[in-house]
Amino acid sequence: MKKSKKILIALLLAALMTVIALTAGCGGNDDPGTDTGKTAAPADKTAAPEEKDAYVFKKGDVTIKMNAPAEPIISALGEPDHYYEEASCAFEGMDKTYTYGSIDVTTYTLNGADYIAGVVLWDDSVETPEGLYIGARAEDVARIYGEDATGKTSVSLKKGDANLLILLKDGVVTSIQYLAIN
Amino acid sequence: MNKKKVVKIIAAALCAVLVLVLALWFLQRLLTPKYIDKNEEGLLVKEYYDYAGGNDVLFIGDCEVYSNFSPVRLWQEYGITSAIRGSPQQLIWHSYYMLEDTLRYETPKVVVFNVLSMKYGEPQSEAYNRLALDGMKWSSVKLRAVKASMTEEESLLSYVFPLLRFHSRWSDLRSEDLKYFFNTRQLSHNGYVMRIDVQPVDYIPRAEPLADYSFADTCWEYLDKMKDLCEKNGIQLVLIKAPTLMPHWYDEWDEQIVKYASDNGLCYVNTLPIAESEIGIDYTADTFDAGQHLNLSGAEKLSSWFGAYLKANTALPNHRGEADLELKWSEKIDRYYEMADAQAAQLERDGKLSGYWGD
Repeated sequence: MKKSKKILIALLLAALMTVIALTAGCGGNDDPGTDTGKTAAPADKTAAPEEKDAYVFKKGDVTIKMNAPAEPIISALGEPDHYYEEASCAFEGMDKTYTYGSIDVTTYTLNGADYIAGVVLWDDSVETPEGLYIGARAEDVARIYGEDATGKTSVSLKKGDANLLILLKDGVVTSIQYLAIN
Repeated sequence: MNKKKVVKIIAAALCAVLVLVLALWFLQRLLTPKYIDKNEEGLLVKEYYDYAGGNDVLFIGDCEVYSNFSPVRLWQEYGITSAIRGSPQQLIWHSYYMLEDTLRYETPKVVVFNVLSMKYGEPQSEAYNRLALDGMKWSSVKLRAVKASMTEEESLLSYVFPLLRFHSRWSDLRSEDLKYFFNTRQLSHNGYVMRIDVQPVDYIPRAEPLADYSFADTCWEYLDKMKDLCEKNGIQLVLIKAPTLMPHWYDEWDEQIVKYASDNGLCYVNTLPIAESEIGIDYTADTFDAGQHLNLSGAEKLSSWFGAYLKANTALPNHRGEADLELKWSEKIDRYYEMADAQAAQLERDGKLSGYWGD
């Protein structure tokens, strides 16, 4: 074989090798179409944090953990008073809101499954497992959670993958929200 | 080494480079999403270049512009030429660079910015960056847009060479990737994305109180930049909040926009309080997803009302009767009703819409 032909073949092979190297499969989601807008999944959805490791809300016997699979929780909670689906602008998956009297439970979709995104408490007929309720005083926040809320309009407490957001006005708790930390 | 051999080696090298470039181009074209069978809104930004030029009004924003305003209706009723540069969850810095990019092709008389995106002070998702930026033609504007928008995990190079982003889509390739390898389909009507189906509003979740209703500094900075760019180019900036019920638009947010508009001499209209009483929106019939977006009948009602608002608050000319524009828009109108008919036929046949084209 002539030397120039060998060089040509070598160069073509080099070109093809470059292409193969560039297109070598990687893991991960490379199609924006399957992205629901959530930044990342918690490391292991099946191993939701223990209650002592994260803030959870309890409605009766049902424990609602942030980022936990939604299906068994929603089933246990029973038929909601209201239900609303909110699609993202373009992508698959829904943000869902289930209303049960004085609480709203929201979920998000990730890889085709729903997970708990948050819980909002709406009135003083419900309270956190630790005993905080809407209408409680700032001193109660300090007593229950050890966080000084005096003079503040909000207190954000993080434990595990849950954020407990407490809003206050004039020293009185006006809103209690559990938010999943992704 | 004689001259002949040198020439042969150079030719071989050029040949190899050509093969490499062609192979990379082929792979990039093959692996880049086509946005035909799903996430069709990914076509929007690129489509603009087909109808750029001669638009007196430019809408910029998220789905609250591309789902809710009908340029065809604005033309039919008011002789207003308009285009929408929307993309899913378009953030305000995306919108600003959409405006800058648009000014490379035309200078509208009025820019309408939907203010919902003021609620986002940080990039939300790489995917939405892709939908906003991949379709934009390369220029220094796009370069700055990418730099301003990238999340921490993204790289500039992946926007220059999308193959680097989409290289492992080979395992997700669908028939559309081959069918639309060279061509694509036109989704929008000057940026408007049509849906004729109905899902009425029967419940809207309670809006949870927020710890802080202030818009992020970066949003104000880009709104200032947008205002300044409009002023510099003699464009009237109009701020609007579309009449969609979800996501929530808080009164505390509205007050900030009202003050900004007042302080800067801008028109701002929040259509939510007047959606039913003045615009005539019927939330049991004019939305296809329970209040998040308007369907065709809702978009036409809103556009009819907004055309009158624009006429009353700007100096837009009525172009009806201008032969070249009548011809141009008659073609758009034909396509508009063809899509509406196709969707209606699919709805009747299948009981639901499975795609915008109705096929």
